[in-house]
Amino acid sequence: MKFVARFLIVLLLLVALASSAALSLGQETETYGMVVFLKGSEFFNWAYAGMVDAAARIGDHIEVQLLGPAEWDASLEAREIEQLTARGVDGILATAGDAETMNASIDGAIAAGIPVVLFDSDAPGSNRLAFAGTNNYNAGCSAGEAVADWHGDAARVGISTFPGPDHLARRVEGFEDCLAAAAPGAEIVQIVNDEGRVDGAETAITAMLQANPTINVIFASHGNPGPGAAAAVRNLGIVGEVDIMAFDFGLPVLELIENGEIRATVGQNPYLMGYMGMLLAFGARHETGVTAGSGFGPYATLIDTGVQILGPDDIDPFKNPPTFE
Amino acid sequence: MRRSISLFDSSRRLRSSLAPARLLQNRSVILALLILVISIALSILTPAFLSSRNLTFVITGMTYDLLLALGMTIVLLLWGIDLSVGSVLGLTAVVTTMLLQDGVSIPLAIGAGLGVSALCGATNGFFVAYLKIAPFIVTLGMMSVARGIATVLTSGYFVSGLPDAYKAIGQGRLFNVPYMVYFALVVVVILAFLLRNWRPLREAFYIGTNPEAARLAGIRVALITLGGYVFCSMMAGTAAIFMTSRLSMGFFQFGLGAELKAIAAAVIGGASLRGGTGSIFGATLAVFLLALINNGFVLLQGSPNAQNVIMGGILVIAIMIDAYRRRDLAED
Repeated sequence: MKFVARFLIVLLLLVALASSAALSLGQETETYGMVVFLKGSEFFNWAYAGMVDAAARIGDHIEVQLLGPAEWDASLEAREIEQLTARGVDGILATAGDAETMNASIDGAIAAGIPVVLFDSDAPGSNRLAFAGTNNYNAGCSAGEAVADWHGDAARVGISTFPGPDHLARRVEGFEDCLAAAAPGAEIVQIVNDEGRVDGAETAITAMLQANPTINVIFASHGNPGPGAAAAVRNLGIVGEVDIMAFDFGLPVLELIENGEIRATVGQNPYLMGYMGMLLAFGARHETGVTAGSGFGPYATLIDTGVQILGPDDIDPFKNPPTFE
Repeated sequence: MRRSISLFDSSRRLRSSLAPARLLQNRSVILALLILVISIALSILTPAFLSSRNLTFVITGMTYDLLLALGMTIVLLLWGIDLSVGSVLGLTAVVTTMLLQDGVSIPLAIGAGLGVSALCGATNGFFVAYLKIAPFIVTLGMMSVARGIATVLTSGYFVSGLPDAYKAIGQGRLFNVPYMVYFALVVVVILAFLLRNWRPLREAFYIGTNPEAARLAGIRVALITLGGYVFCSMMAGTAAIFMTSRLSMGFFQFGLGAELKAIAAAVIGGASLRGGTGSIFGATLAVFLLALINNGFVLLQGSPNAQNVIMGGILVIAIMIDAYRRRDLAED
C-alpha cells in the first residue's frame, strides 16, 4: 500500500514537472535586437518605442534590446549584428548606416537562420527578408499634393536638395509628379544645391528667392533645409509670404512650425517602422504549415510606413520624443 | 633677423615687379580682376546680382568660410595643414548650444565653446610642434575625435531652444549688415596688419619656408606653430558661435566638409601647401570669389549637379597653379 502511495506521489510529481516544462517551452523567451547608428537619436528612439510596443503586444516572453554605435558608423553596426548572430537571437531589426558595409553581416545572420528585417535605410543588396520604411517617392508625392492644396495652380516652388542620394532624388521626383498632377498650372521655378547643410540651405535659398521673387513655396527634400529656408525667409523680411514645407520633425523644425515660420513638415513614421519591423521579424521566426521548409515564417518583403503632413495642430505628440538608456 | 626678412621680401617683390610673367604670383591682383570680371558678367546677366541686398547676403554667407580660411592660411603658412576645422566647428557648436540649453549664461557658454576649440587646436599644435607628428595625421585624427564627441554628446539630435539674446549675435544688424560681417572684416584687417608687423607672425614665413633654418636662427618654431594651430581652431570656434546664433540651433554635422573649402580658399588666395607663403587679403578675396561663383550659379539657375564639379575644378586648378609656382621658384 505504501509502495502504491509512493508510486502515485512520484507519478504526480513527474506529471507536474512535465506540465510545467511543457508550459515553459510554450512561453520560451525570445530575444530580438534592434541595431541602429546614432543610437539615442530622436528618430531611432521613436523606432525602438514602436518595437517595444509591438513586442509587448505579442507577449511577455518577448525581450527586445536596442544596440548600435552613438555615431554614424556602419562597421560598428555590422559588428553588433555579428554578435547578435553569435548569441543566436531570434530576430534582428537593423537600419543600414551604409548598405555595402553591412551586407555581409546581414547575410551571415540569415545563413544562421535568424530573420533580419531592415527599417528606415534598406540594404537591398543583402539577403535581408523584409524592409519597413518610407517610400520616398510617395513621401515627396504627399508633399506635392499638400502644396497643391495650399496654392493650387498659383504655386511657384523652389526646391532645396543636394545631388547624390537616391532617396532625395525620388522625393523630388514624387513631389514634381504629384504637384503637376494636382495643380497643372503650378511651376517648379528652381532647384538649388544646399550641399546637405543648414547654412548651405540658407545661402542658396536666399539667393534663389532674390533671383525669383515669384516663389511662394519652398520644399525641403531632407531634414536640414527647413531651418535654413526659415533663416533665408527671415533674412529677406518675407516671413508669411513664402510657405515652407520641411522634412522630418526635429525639434527646431517643430519650434519653427509653432512660431509660424514653417507651415508644415513631411513627418516620416519611425514608430511604425519599429512596430511593423518587430511583427515582421516575429512572423518570420515562426514557420507555419504554409511556409514549412523555407526556414522562415510568413512575412511581407516591403512595407511602406507612409508619411504624415504635420502642421501646427499636429505637432504636440512629437514634442517629447521617447528616451531609452 | 628683421633685416633678413625685409631683404627677402624686397628682393622677391623687385623680381616680381620686373618680370611680367610672374604676375601669377600676385594672386590678390588676379583675384580682384577675376571678381571684377565675374561681377560685371553677373550684373549684365541677372539684375538681382547688383542689388545691395544680394551683395549683403553674399558677404554674410561667406563669413563662416572666411573665418576658417583665415585660420587655415596661418597654418599653411607654417607648412602645416588642419583637417579638423570643420569638426572643431561642429564640436564647438554642440558644446556651446548644449550649455545654453542647460541655462548656462551666454558669456560662460561662449567662453566654454571657444575654450574647447582652443583645446583642440592646442592638442593639434602640441603633437605637430613638439612630438613632430605629421600635421595631416594629427589633424585627421582630431577631425574624427571632435566629430565623434559632438555626435556622442547629441546622439544626432538638433540642439534648439536657444535664448533670444544669443540669437542676436548672429541675427542682429547694424546699418542692415549683420554684426558678424563687421567682426570678420575687423579680424581681416587686424590679422593682415599683424602678419606684416608682428614679429611672431612674420617669423611664421621663415618657419614655413625652412623650419630647421628658422630654429637655428633662434626662432621659437614650436611655440609659434602651436599658436598657429590654436588660432586656427579658435577661428573655427568663432564661426560656430556665429553659425549657431544665426541659425538658432546646434547640430553635430555643422562644418561638415568645411575644411576643404577653407584649404581651397587659402590656396587660391596665395597660400602654399608647402608652407612659407600666404596672404590674408588673398584668402579674403578667394572666399569672396567662391561665394560669388556660388551666388551666380543660383541666380543663373545653374544645375545643382554641375555646381560641385565647378567648385572642385577650381580647387584643382588652384593647386596646379601652386605646384607650377613652386617649381618655378625652385628653378630660380
